[in-house]
Amino acid sequence: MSAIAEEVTRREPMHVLHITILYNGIPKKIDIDREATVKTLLDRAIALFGNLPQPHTLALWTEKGAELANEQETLKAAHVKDGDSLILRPSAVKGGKA
Amino acid sequence: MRYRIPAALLAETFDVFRQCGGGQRECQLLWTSPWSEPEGIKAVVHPQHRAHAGGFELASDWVNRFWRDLARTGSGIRVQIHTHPHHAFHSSIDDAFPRVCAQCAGGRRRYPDALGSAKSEAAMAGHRRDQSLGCDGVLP
Repeated sequence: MSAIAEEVTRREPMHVLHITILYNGIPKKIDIDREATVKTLLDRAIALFGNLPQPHTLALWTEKGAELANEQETLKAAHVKDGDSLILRPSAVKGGKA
Repeated sequence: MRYRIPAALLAETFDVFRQCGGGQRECQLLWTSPWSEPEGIKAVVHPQHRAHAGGFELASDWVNRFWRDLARTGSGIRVQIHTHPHHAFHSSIDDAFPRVCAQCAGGRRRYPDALGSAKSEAAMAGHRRDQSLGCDGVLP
């Protein structure tokens, strides 16, 4: 194994986050670099669940109920950790006659 | 997909709409079922929500808890239903804020008069007879 490969192998557990995304009762897993942005994870999560309507209304939320609202932030900066479960849901949930 | 809902859950749907909406305010219910048997509706879920002049809005904390419960119980939303104070129609807000994707749920239904009229129940009861609640439409 080359020195570079060894370095990649050694660092991989620290840099790759294994995230579970919950949508309508279905959990799906995504592996993603912790330096990736929230936007990148959101796009991958939406793609993972197929052709979702109104994707621009969807956001990722922590299990404690905080929205990952800054899409340009890295996952590391957003305090997303390896093994976390995130909820994919609309930012607001409304209905009515307007 | 065509869904089956027990008569007791349909009755519960009307009861909750009448109690919460009081014939005046909008209200929403969700029909859920297990992913292992999606066609058989097993529960009527009444979200925490706030009704206002322009419609209603669900409590964000409640949505997060509910999303986790769905995953924990292996269930999913199949149909979302809400009342309108007057005539039923498909609004721009209805389009903009679906709870889940159309492929994951049967669709959305709206019932007029906040279910305050016998006509509303008669219309829904007529629909109940064919046990088919799979499309996204508005009852006449």
